[in-house]
Formats: sequence, C-alpha cells, structure tokens
Amino acid sequence: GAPGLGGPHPLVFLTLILLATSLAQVTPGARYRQFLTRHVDFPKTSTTNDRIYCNLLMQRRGMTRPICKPTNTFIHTPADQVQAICRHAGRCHRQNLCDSNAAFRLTTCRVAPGSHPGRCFYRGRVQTRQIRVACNRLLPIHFDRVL
Amino acid sequence: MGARFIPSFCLRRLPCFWNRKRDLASASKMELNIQCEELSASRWTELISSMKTSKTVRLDDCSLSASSCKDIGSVLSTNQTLSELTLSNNELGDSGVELLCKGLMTPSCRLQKLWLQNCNLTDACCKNLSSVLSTKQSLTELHLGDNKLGTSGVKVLCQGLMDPNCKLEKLQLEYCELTPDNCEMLSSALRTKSSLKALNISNNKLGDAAVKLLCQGLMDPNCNLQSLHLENCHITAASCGDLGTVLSMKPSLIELSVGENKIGDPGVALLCQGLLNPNCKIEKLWLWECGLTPASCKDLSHVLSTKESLTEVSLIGNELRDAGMELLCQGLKDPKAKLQALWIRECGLTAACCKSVRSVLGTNQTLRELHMGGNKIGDAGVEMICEGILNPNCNLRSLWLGNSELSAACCRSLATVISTKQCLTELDLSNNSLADDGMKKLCEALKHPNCKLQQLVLYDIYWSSEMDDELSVLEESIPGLKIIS
Repeated sequence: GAPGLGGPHPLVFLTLILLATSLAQVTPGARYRQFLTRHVDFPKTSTTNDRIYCNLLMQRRGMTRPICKPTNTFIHTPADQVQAICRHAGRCHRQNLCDSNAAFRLTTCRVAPGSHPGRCFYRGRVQTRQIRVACNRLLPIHFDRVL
Repeated sequence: MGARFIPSFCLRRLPCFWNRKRDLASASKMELNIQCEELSASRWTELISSMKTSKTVRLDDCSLSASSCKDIGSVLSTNQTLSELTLSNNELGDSGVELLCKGLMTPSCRLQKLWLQNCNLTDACCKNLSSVLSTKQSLTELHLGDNKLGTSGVKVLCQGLMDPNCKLEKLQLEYCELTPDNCEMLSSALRTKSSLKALNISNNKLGDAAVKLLCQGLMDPNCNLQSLHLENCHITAASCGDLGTVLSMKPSLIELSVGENKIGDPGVALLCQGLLNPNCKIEKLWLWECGLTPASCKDLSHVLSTKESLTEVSLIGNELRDAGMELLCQGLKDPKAKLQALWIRECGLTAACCKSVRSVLGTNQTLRELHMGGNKIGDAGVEMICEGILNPNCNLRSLWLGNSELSAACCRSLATVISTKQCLTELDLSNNSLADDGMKKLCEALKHPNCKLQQLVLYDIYWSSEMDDELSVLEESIPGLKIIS
C-alpha cells in the first residue's frame, strides 16, 4: 500500500476485516449452520419407519435436550437447493420470508404427548410440499412453515 | 453421507458453537453416558475399560453391533457394581443379545435395569432373555420397546417372568407387536408377580377383550401394580367399565394412561365412576387423544374437585372447547382440588375460556404447571392468563404457551409476569410470532432482579440477527437462566 495518499490506512481495512470475521461467528453463518443441522437431511437417513426416523434424528440433531423440541420439519433435498429459495427459487415477501417455488420431500416430527425431557418420542409425517423460510443475506436461517 | 450428518454437537464434550449454553453434565467416573456417537476402535477400547468400573452405562445410538456385545458381555460378567445398562438404538440383533445374556447370567452380575429399545430384536432372542428373567433376582426393570418380538416372543418372555426367582418391578413392551393372545399370560403374571409395579404395553393391537382379561389379573389381591400404560391399544368404551372397577378396588394403582384410545365420553364416564370411589387413590391420569368432547367435562370436573390424590391430568388433543374448559375450571376452583399439573394442549380453546382460567389461577394455590400450547388463545387470552398469574394466590412455576397465536402485543403482560412472579421458573413461548418488538420487552423483563426464570423456551421464533446477539449476551450475563432456541 501507499500510506500518505488519500483513503484509509491499510491497517484500518485489516481491523475491519478481523472485526467482520469475528462478528460472523455469531451472525448469519452460525444461524445458517443451525438451520442445516435442524432442517436438512439429504439423502434421508434410512430407518425402519417415520416414527423411528423422528426419534433418532431429533436426538442426533440435538433437539431433545434439555427439552423435547415440540415440532420440527426435515427437508430431504441438497442444501444448495434449499439455499436457492432465498434467491431465484423462491418468492419473497415481507419480513424476509420466502416461499419455495418447488415442492420438497419433507418429514415433520411432532412430539408425542407422553414425552418428557430425556425421553422424547415423536410422530413422523411424510409429505411433499412447498415451504416458507426466513432468509438473511441470501441464506435460510429459520424454518417458518409447511405451505 | 446421510446417516451421521454433523454428529459432533451430540457429544457432551465437544464444543458446539451455535448452542448458547452447553449443558456439560459433570461426567462422574461411575456414570458412562454417550449418545449418538460413532465409536472408533481405540475409543471403544477406552470405553470398555471405563465400563469395567462404572455403575451405569448408557450407549444410545452409537452404531454398536453384535460384536460389541461380546465385549459388553465380558464387562457384565466381571463388573459387580454395574446396575444400569442402556443399549437402545443400536442394531444388536438377536445374536448380540445372546452374547449379552451370557454375561448377564454369570452369578457375579448384579444388573438391575436393562434398556434394549429399538435394537432389531425378534422372538428369537426371547428364550435368552427369559432365562435371564428366571435367574437374575437382581433385575428389576426391563425395557424392550420397538422390537418385533411378536406373540410367540412375548409368550416365551412371560414364561421367564412367571418364575419365582423373577423379581421384576417394571416391564415395558411398547411397539413390540403383542397381540390379544398375549394377554392371558400377562394376566397370570399380574396375578402372581406381586413385585410388578409398572406395566407399559402401549402401542400394541390388543382390543377390548384382551384388556378385560388383563383387568381380571389386575383385580387379584396379589397384584400391586402402581402404573399402567395402555396407550393406543385399540381400547373403546367397552373395556372402560372393567378399568373403572379396577380403579375402584385397587388403591395401589396410582398412575393410569389410556391415551390415544377412542374411549369417548361414554368411556370417560365409566372411568370417572371408578375414579370417584374413595378406594381410588389415583395420582396421574392421562386421557390424551381419547376423542372426548365438552360433554366429558362435567364428570372430569367432579373428579378434579373431589379426588385430592389427583396431581396430574393430561387431556391433550381432545376437542374440549371453551365450554368444556369452563366446566373444568369450576372443578379446579374447589378448595379440595389439589391438582399440580394440567396438560390442555390442542384442546380447541380460544380466548373465551381464559377468563375462567384467570379465575382458577387467582384461587387455586396448588397448580404448578400449566401446559396450554396449541390453542388459539391469542394475545387477548394470554393477557387474561397473566392477570391470573399475578394474583398472590397463584404459585405457578411452569407455563407453556407454544403455538398459541401470540404476537408482540401480549409481550407487555408477559414481561410484567416475568419481572414480578418470582415462583415462575419455566416459560415456553415457542412457535409464536413475537417479533423483535416483543422480544425486546421480554429481554428487559429478564434483566429485572425479581425475575427468577431458569428456562425460557423460544423455539422457532423468527427474530433479527441483532436480537440473536442480544439474547446471547443476555443469557451469558444472567447466571441460572437458560434460553432454549
């Protein structure tokens, strides 16, 4: 660089880049990764039936401690196709909510009434539907609903 | 790919940086507890040696197989202190269980509790398990759910159960493909096994005739059963008379679940007759998804206001509606009502019944847990509930309002409750569009010194990245508070 010319000192840029990277640890990257962990399973993990699928996946993806997450939908599509909803493959409206153009294969898991923390049992329901997600900087970070 | 997508966060020990607060259970040397982890050969060797001195071992969903059972079998034959073993969700197969049983049968083995749920077992392994039952006096609990044992398998198992050496206290056979043919032997077991305290045969196609047969066994003077779970057993009102009779004659039966059986209003009426008998000392009653309507609520209300032993009731998934809820509330206001936990999720309730709920909260001092999620009560409903909670009489500790069509508008009332009601330690607001505005109000309340909330559940609520950061910082700054999202 050439200090003395007009413009910010290179060190300022360096500081900004470092700041941005550290902020990124708590912003979109982390939320997107959590979205993937909670909502994307491709290819669909093979199990005996959808109920066992839900019991295993909800546990494996960390949604049974410290309490049983009441409902959760898994999408059986590659992550990049889900990501695309936030760009060209979806219709976006208010509050960053985007509806997918395509229908996706889904398994929705709902906690069974007799469940308690540490003993989470689920019911599974398979369907092929369009979905609504919330996007932040072109990445899905929140699963809103099955349409 | 597929099977183990990012399993690392499941491990209690590895850091998972998007979880705000890692619940690191203090790993006691006596307790080995591993869930969903792929175990390398070297790790397995390490674990085997820890198992040799452990009191409890849990290896749930760890890709164990029959070969692992050989090693575990040798641990069982040498470790005299091992009292609990959980190997659920591993494809052990019948051959694996055979190897385990070899270890279990050694005289020095003192195992008390064994969990083998969803281990790909069939009737073939029941002979081995039966031998264990008829030999191991130390074994008090056996959980075999989600294994296709079938009629023949369970018959063989019952043979072992009947042995005088067997001192089993808890038997769980959910989703084991039991049939009505199994109930004669189970009935005999109930008649003979005075040690049996809990029986769970939910999710097996039994039907009314089979359940009536079971009731005969339950009525035997030798039977001391405390807990009976018959969920989704294809029961109708036809067997509720017999169940009611059991309730009226057996003070030992303190926990009954008939959830997910279409017993309907007629069935509940029959059960209530038994429940009202002074001999009945029922404490927990689960009637979720039983096809009940507001018509059931008169009898239920009467039970609530009479049965002082009754501490927990679940009515999840019955179309009770506001009319039904209002009737229940009348019962709950009675000074004799000692209910501590009420589950009325997904009961078709609206804001209209919340006035009665407010009234209950303002009078009833024993209610500690209220699960009301999945009802369209909205902001108006929640505001009334909050008013009730603020009453000094109310001792509510745990409030669940997930998926209740709430918005930012009700957060002012919720904030007041959070910052005032010191007894409230648990609050669930999942699946509500609280938005940043609502969340901000809640955050302010959390900072209040009077807020004693330990667990705030906020699953599936969309907020901005800024709010996300704020919540992280807030949670770090308040010791004792866990925000689950």
